[in-house]
Amino acid sequence: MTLRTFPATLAFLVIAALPSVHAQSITRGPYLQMLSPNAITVRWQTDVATDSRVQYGGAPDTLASNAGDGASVIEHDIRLTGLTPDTTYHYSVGTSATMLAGGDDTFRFKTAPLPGTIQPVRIWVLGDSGTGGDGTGRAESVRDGYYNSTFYQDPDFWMMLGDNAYTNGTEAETTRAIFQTHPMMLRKCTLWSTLGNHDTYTSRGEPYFNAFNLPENAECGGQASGTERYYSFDYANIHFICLDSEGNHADGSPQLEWAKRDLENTIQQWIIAFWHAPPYSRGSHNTDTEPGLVQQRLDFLPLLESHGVDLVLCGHSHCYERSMLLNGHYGLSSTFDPNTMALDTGDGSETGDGAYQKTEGSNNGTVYVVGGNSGKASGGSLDHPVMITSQNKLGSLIIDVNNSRLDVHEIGTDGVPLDNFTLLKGPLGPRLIPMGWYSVSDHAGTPRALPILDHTFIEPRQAGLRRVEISFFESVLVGNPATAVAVTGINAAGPVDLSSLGITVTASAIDDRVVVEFSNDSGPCALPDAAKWRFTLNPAALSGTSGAILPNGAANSRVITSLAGDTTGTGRCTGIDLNRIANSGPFNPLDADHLRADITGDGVIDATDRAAAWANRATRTDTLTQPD
Amino acid sequence: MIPMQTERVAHRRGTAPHQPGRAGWRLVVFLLWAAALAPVGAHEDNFVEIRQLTANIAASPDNPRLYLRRAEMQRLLRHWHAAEADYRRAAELDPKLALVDLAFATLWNDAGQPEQALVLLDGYLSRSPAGPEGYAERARSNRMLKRWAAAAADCAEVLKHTPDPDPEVFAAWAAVLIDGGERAQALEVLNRGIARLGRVASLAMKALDLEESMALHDAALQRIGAMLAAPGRKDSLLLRKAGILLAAGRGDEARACVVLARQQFNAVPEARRLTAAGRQLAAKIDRLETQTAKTTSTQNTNHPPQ
Repeated sequence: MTLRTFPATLAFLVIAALPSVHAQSITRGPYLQMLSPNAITVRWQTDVATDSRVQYGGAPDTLASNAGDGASVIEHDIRLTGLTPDTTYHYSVGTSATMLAGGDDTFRFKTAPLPGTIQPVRIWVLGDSGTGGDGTGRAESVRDGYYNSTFYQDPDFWMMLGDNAYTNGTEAETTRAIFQTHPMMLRKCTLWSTLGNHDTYTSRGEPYFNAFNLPENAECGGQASGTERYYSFDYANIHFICLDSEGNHADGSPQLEWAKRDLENTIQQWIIAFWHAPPYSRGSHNTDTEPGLVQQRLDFLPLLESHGVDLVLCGHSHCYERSMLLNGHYGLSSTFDPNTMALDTGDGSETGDGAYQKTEGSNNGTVYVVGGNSGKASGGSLDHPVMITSQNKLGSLIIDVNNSRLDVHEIGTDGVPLDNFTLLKGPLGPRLIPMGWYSVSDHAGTPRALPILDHTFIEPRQAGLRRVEISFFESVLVGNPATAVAVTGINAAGPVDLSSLGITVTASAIDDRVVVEFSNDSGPCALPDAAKWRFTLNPAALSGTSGAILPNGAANSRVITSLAGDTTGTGRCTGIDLNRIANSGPFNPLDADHLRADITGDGVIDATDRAAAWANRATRTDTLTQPD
Repeated sequence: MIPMQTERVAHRRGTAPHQPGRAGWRLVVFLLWAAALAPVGAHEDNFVEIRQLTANIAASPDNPRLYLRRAEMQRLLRHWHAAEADYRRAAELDPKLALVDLAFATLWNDAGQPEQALVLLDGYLSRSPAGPEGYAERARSNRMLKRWAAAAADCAEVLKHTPDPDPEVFAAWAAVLIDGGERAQALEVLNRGIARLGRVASLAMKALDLEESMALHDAALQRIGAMLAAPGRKDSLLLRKAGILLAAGRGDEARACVVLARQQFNAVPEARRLTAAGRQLAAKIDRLETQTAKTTSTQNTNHPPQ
């Protein structure tokens, strides 16, 4: 060996020795699969084969439990069992000798609540997001649109509606479009997926099935399907059923037989179905002219609608389309008759035509969403007659379920909602209605009242309704009882004019509630019967008596002061019209925008760590009561 | 999973030359006919990929896999002539590309010409006997030709060559056997699937249908008893059990079972009862209640309802 060749030889020796060091590298994940109340699967991939070990516990620095597998593998797949429902765990992954990832607050998961539990649930949904990492930035802009939006909070889980990795669903494309595009979300929230056509283009979907662990034997609720191509699971009070539009779905096929049995079996309050290719679309696909889609509509929809499925989520068509509340439209779009096939032709928005109701002694009606716009927006005529809105824009969906209420927002790349609608169900009577109120300070600390965000809402018919109470998060004053609230009834014939009926509406304040009462010449009275009632609060006639958000030293921190009620412990969620928190740059409290925010236990919102500040979300709700 | 669709096999490679044979002219007729019926629906992804493949072919005009892939995209778009041309070009470039035979066989079966498909499939399977796709397609041909035994044999081969079978493999095999009048064998196949995959709802319900149709009441009751032991709603299963008991002449038990079914149904949350399916189930309960009220038990029994 000469001096000239020594460095090269040394380099060779060093490189030759590298595998033992390099062997510790993670190439995918870690990521979470098959979430249930008592178990979860932790997956990760390493560049070379190693054994597997997961350590987990109640805090990042107390990972007292562990599970592992001594087999030397590249695809690591550890099922943690015996977990406590609805509980947050932290974890790390690695080998029996080395921790490869974990040990901070971002490596965590929360087990599912027991089936039937009523609590707020947040789901993030991406469709056809397989352009991630392709250099165009489309999937990334959708992701960041949600991350930076004022709607952001960690979802309880997230979903992909197929075509997760363009163009052929190869191993490399899967790594790029899923694992390299969403590393943060993958490590803390379970991802569920359905099979898209592009996902099948490589070895009949082998990379897709290698990447995902999906329930075949009812591990997460529902009925055993015996295949990962279609499956079901429960989360809180919702049953999810995933179908396979790429496989056999003919009448009598195993898939439909299983789906029928699965739907017969559930007692959950809500049912959400999802699969890849949509039953209604005039985007980049046309459900009138593509025979497979025509047939699939005939195969799937009668079964789903007969079992009262509330919401259907699909992708495939690269646009956003959202239907009215439908029941019984299975033919071509030319046969659509809104009089007989739509239960509500309104827009489903509480600030528009009113929420969709499934409360009139029937659980009929389904809303269909095409959300194949998380990686591409590629046009089409966008004029399917069942749709309330059809947009050629990139975006993602968020779904919030809270007891008898389901809200959907389509979030654009700028974080602004492109669409929203609400489904309400359950018996008539007292209903939980989100309503909020804040007084805040500006930069200088001067108190500034912010109006109530959702000052308009609609309630279904409630015969004999005599009084409505709307509660707030702090004490509230009513300036002018006669103008504080306007009440409008809506019937098929149009608005119901209370004044022409001699009925007066008055509002008064009792601590944190506005009480709305009705009277006529004879004294207190009940509202007449109407299909819906709209209560419009007038912010100018209302004011708060306490509450401020004040600077707290650090540039990106604000303290919420003088909140009524609990500002310690698990924290208190407000969710209404706080200040937009930018993802980067200075925090500007006057940059007001629609925001669902949470407050941590000590009442601090730290704009530098939104995930931590919003982790303890618990939607504050207000009750509409119907006293004697 | 029975991979009937050609795109699922497009990446597999055969080993023998393509032999269009005497079926060629009929295929051309079929393609002309199919082209006339082809839908006009846009399929943006496929167009994009075809453009990309065309560019790739321009750069590598001798790569048969590129033609094969483009043929598949053309087939999905029902551009039959373009698909056929690409298949043939792929076969010219690589005479060992037996996959073309499978693709054409699928087209023949799609066209309702299973005899033509069989010729190609026999050749394909003689050269590529290791994968399930050819057997699945040949089972389809044989089933269309009502050659039940041959179809069942092909289904057995599909299972043999599928390391991780879906319920569809067992269901398809059982369906062929049922069509051929071999219900007992079909039941065996379904039970084999359940033994392998677990208590899969689709296979269990098909097995129950068969047992009922064969008047195997005890077996059916045993199966439904196991299903009732699993978590979840019981009402529809109890009603099904009542029907079996009634058919078995065990009227008293059937009646008790209907009562249980009604109790369970009434305990189901409103959101699930107030559906079309819920109303149908309620109507069934009413009907069976009336039916069982008129029926007296024809035999004493030691089988209390679960």
